[in-house]
Parts: sequence; C-alpha cells; structure tokens
Amino acid sequence: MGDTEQYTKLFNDLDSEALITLGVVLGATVLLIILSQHGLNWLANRLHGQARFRTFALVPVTRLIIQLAALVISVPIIIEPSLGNMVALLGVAGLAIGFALKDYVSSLIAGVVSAVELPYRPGDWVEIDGVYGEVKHVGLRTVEVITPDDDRVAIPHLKLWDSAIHNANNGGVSLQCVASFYLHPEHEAGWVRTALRDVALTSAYLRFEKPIVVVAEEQPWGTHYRIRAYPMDPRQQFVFITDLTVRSKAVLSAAGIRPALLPPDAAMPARHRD
Amino acid sequence: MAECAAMNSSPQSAGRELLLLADFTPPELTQVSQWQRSWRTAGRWLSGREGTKARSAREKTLGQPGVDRLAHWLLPVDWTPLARALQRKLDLAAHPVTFLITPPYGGHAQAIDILADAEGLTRLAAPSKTALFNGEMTWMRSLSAHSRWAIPALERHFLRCVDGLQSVRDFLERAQSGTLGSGVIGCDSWSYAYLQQAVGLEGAPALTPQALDGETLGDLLATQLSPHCPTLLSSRTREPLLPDASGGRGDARALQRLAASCRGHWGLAWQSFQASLREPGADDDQADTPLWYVPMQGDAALPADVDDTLLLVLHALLLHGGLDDESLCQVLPVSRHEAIQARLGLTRRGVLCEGERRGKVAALYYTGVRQRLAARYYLVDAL
Repeated sequence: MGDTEQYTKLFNDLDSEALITLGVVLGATVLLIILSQHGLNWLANRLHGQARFRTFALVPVTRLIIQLAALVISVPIIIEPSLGNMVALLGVAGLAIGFALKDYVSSLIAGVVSAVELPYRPGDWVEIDGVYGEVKHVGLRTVEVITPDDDRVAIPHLKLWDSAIHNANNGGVSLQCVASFYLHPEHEAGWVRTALRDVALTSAYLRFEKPIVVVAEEQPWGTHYRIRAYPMDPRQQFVFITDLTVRSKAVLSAAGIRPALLPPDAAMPARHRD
Repeated sequence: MAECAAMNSSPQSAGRELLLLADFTPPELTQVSQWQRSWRTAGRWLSGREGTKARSAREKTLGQPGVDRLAHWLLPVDWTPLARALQRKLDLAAHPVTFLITPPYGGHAQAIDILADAEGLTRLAAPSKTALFNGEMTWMRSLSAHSRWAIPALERHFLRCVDGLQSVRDFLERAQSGTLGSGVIGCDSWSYAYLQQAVGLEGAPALTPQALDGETLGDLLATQLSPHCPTLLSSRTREPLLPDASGGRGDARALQRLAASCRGHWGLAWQSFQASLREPGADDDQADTPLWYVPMQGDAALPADVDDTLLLVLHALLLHGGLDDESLCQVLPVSRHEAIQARLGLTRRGVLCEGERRGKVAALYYTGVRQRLAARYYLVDAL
C-alpha cells in the first residue's frame, strides 16, 4: 500500500479538466503537425531553386518544435515535476530503453540530431547504405527516400551514427552529374575531349554558372571518359545524363570512334555517378 | 554639322544612343514590375484564374484593332537612327569585329542592313537549313583578310548542336583574329549570352541601345502616330496618353510602367504598345471615337502549370531568335511530337507568335518569360 501511494504521488490527479486539456493539446498537436507538413510540402513543391530547399528544411524543424511544445505543456499536467518524481521516472525509462527500446530510442535521438545538423532534408538526393534517392519525408524515426525506380525506402535515423551519408546537393540546387563513356584506345583523345565538352555546352539542361569538366582515364582495355556537369535542377539529373549520353554516342559514332570491349571483371552496372 | 545636331536632338535619336553591353541598366521600376508580376502569379495559384471578370468588363466595350487599322494609324518603325548611332561608334580599323546587341524585336538586323548599305559592307546571308543542320560555314569561305562584311543576325547562322557550335566557334575565332577582314555583327542578346558562355567573346566590343525611361518612350511613341490616328487616351486617367506640342506630358506613370515592364527596350515597348491599343466596339459609329491604351502587360503571364518541356521550348526559341518547327526539334532533347505539341500549346495561349514562318516569344509575354526562366536557372541575356 505504501508503495502504491508512493507511485500514485508521481502522477497528478487526472480530473476531467486535466483530461480535456490533454485531449485538446493532443488534438492541436496532431492538427498543427498535419497542417505544417502538408502546407510546407505544398508550398515547397510550387517553389524552385534555393527557396524550395529552404522551405523543405523547415518541415522537420517545425514538427520538432510543435512536439516539444506539446511535451512541455502536457508533462506537468500528468506528473508532479518534483525532483524525486523525476528521478523515479527517468530510472524506469532508462530500464525500458536499455532492454527493449534501445534501437527505437536511438533512432528518435538521431532524428532530433538530424533536424539540427541537417545531414539531409526533404529535396536532397542522398545515398545511405547503398540506397540512392530523393528525400521526401524526414520522420521521427526514419527518413523516407524515393529511389529512381519509384520505390519508397524508409531508412532509420540511427544509420546516422555509423554510416556515411552521401548528400549530392545538400539543400541546394547544384547536383553534379556524370556521364561515362568507354572508348577503344585507338582514337584522338584531344578531339574526343573537345567534342564531349561541346556536347555538354549544347545540352538544353546545362547550368552555365557551374563548371564543365571532361575527365579522361586510361585503362588497360581503353579510355574511360567522364563528362562532369550540372543541370539546372537536381530533378533533371536523369534526363540530363540521358541527353549527354545519347548525343555523345551520336557524335562519337559519326566520327568513327569505337566503343571499348570491356573485360567481364571491368564491366560495371550503370550508375548515376562513378 | 547642323543636321547632325538637329538629328541628335530629335526624339528618334534620343533613345538610340549606344553604350557598351556591360554598362546597360534597365529603367526604374523594373524590379517593382517583376515583384508585381510574381505577386499576380502567386494570386493566381491561390485563387484560380484572376481578373477574368475585370478583363471581360473592359473587353465588352473595347476591341483590339485589326492589323490594317493599326497600319493606317501608326507609322512603321525606322531603324535608321540606330544604324547611324552604330555608324558613329564603328571603327573597323581598330576592331576586327564589332557586335550590335539588342533583345528580341530590337531591330539589330534592320539596323545592320541599313549600315551595310551605307558603308558598302558585304552582307553575309544566313545559311540554308541543310547547311545549318550540318554546321556548314561555306558562307564565310569568300572572306579574306581584306574583306569588309556585315552579318545582320548571327542567331540565324547557327543552331545549338555540336556541329553548329563548332562551326560558329571556328568563325568567331577567325573573325576576332582578323583573318576574315573586319566586320560588324548584329546579334540577339540571348544568342550573344549563349555564345559568350560557349565560345567566349572577349575583346570584341559589344554595343547596345541605352534603356529608355518613360519620358523618352513617350516622345518616341508620339513620333510614331500618323496624322490619321485618332486621339489616344489612357484608360487609367482618361486623358491623352502621350506628350503633345502644347506641353502636356501625357500619362507619365503609364509610360514609365510600360518602359519598366519592357526593361527599357524600344522594340519591345513598341510591340507591347500596339498590343495594348483598344478601340470602341462596332456599335459606336462616332467619327471622333478615341483610341484607348489599356495596359495588357499584367494579364500577359505564363500559366502557373508551365512544365519543363514548355520552358525548354521557350528557351530554345529565345536563344535562336525564333525557330521553325524542324529546327526546333533539332535543338530540343524531347521527341518531335512533344516539341511541336508544346509549341502549338504556347501559340494557342498567345505566349508565342509567328513571324517569317518562325515561332518566337510574343512581346507582351517576353518579360514574364524571361523572369520565369531566370528563376529556374536558365541562361538569360544581360539586357
């Protein structure tokens, strides 16, 4: 009985007024989160350039602020915030986290860290653990990425602790694209370099303020060329690479330049960047 | 000398002073015009189509005059003052190549034609479509180190493709080195911006007309009205729009807004002015019926749902100063069907018009299109 009395002293009496207040706080929190998430995403999808990414960046931060505010309002209603009560409560929480909810809480904490450090934000093109795609939603526990194959992949935030996060555009509009070409060694490299640069300069998607670089790398089976250039918008990366590839093949083929015959161990799957 | 002084003080010459391209500044209110356009676009997002009721109210009583009536009331633009201004600045001995840069409707081709006749320069015609697709530059083979030549519109001499770029680069490098003699090149500002990035045009002087403010624009417009033109009133003030000999300054605010919305370019302002003229309906038979100026720049906005394909079409047309369908398909990374459907859709909406069998951006929509392209990080001109 004594222990029961001690435990009930942790919690305040939840009369009807307190329950109503909690209900209102919960409802308002859910409503505000839904409105802010949908509203900011709607607005960001109608903006372009840097404004779009900055608006996307507000989405997780806004949700975090609303949730923290709800906690600050709700906790004193449920718990008498005395020192003894807080110590008891944290002790129980620590046991639960340690045994059963370790990874879940780790993801939650990583989610808070990601909202502050911004290793990724909606609109970013990231690669995490071999998954590449556009960040669509930064949730409490996971970050949702849409891959080029239109798959939605939910990646736990705890990957932040021990995995490299490759961010191709980092909240901006600059995303470098790479188009690769594998040519037979018998060709005039200087001409090819100029021709590939001209292919990039005549692309309708090219962003002129960013540099264009053609990199040539000699391999035993031939020469590996890469056009490194930037499209006007990160969402154009695939059509940009396609445009570079298609027109380069036409130019090189018209000049009689043969593709390399790659040995099996040098052949690699098509990637968006090398 | 007296004739030159008189010519220099006339309204026709007031807006024709040339300056270096890097020194061009648009008139006041240009940024305000852009914000107003952005605000109207945002309003359309939120409320759907804006202004249809107001637009209908105006157009119930007023109609757009036909081309024949406009030709009767308005005088054709004379580009001779621009040619003369270029002639004063031209020094073929000092610079192998000099550029005259104007935006769309700017009259650079017409001015170069006039200059070529006056200076006895060999006019280099634009290549055939086949030569254009293959990037052939046979038209420059006749030039030597002693030649004096003129190209009215360089944008007609290349396409944005690998062969086209390599050929025009070869031509410009030889021209700038003096190997082809000396010449003057008229070029659209968008084509020039593209060639600056893709080829590099350092060292060749590039001249452009000074931007017009509202007052100068009003004086110029006043010289373009024929004696048969009815009284021209501003729909905003219901007073005469233009300055007159008795000292009236007209609707200075409307004229400054027109100048600002057209970024100070005379050709664009002239086209926008014509597109904004309205006359009373057919049931009004009074002989002294005035002509109304109803600013249409605010209504001429790109739809909010403009997608990438439409912007690619608009950008390609601006870069080349207008293109026929076949050439347009050559420079776009989309299928022929997509390109033509996009072009037809834009023409139906009035964003594009046709001239010399080439589609180009309509003058009323030009500034809005330019603003949208700049916001999407497309390459835009310096004017």
